Amino acid sequence: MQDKGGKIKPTHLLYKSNLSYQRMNEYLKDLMEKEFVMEKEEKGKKFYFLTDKGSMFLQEYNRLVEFTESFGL
Amino acid sequence: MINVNIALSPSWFLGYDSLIELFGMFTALLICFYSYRLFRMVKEKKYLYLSLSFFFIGAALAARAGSYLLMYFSWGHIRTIGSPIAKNIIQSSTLNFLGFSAHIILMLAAFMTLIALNMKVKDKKLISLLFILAFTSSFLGIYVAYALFFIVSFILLLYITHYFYQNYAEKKTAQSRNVLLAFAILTGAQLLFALSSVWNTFYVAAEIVQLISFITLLIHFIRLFRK
Repeated sequence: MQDKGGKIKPTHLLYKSNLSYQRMNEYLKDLMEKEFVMEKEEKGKKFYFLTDKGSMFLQEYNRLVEFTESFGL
Repeated sequence: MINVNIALSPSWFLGYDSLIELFGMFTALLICFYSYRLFRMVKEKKYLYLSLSFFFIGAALAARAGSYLLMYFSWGHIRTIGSPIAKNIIQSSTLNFLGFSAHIILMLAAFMTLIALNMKVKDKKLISLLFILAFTSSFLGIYVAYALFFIVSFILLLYITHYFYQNYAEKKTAQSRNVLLAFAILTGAQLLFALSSVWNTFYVAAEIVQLISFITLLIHFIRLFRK
């Protein structure tokens, strides 16, 4: 989503995530409940957007991964 | 009554070493708090142990800085004494001795925690045995040679640095390289501290090398937050 400027089509997401359609929807539902992702229609097409909260979470997660890797944890 | 205190530092360096120790304390505590925050988030004990080890490092540096400041700015006479006499740290005032003892205990606790974490040692009896051995040799050693604690620290840090080297060899990231560099430099500082009882210029060099080590760690930490 970040690579695609913060929004992505469902089919692209399905392809990139390498998940089944059902599994992807489960995760999306979870992410939308947590307000990390939102669903919106643009020009009649459905897109998924990374919210500010989602963006911050991703940033924090990347920081955690870098910190963990740097200390070999 | 004249208090004769031991200062390994040349007179022009008095106080600067405390500043360096306090800078190191600040850096260590930053990493301690962040690691603890991660522990609270993900509830994995490895973050707690890392946080604990950096807490011990910060506290050890605070103890040494505090004892230096008490020594340098106390009302007694302060003499910079040459290397043969400086071996016998027990001649310093009680507070200085307590400060240095606290430094030894806390620093060894930090290294033991890091070693246990890196080598994934789960046997608490083994960890406590290693700690007792390291502490006993260092603490009793100060009655014989001030350098012994730093030699023990050097050996322990060699193991820790080797682990970080293996981590860097595997991950090959700039972040893992920075941590390796910081600990490698800190290891070198221990050797210089060990030599400082021979010539006090080594003490200045040791403090500067230690400062470089903590600057490296701080830069690494700041870079995590810049993205």
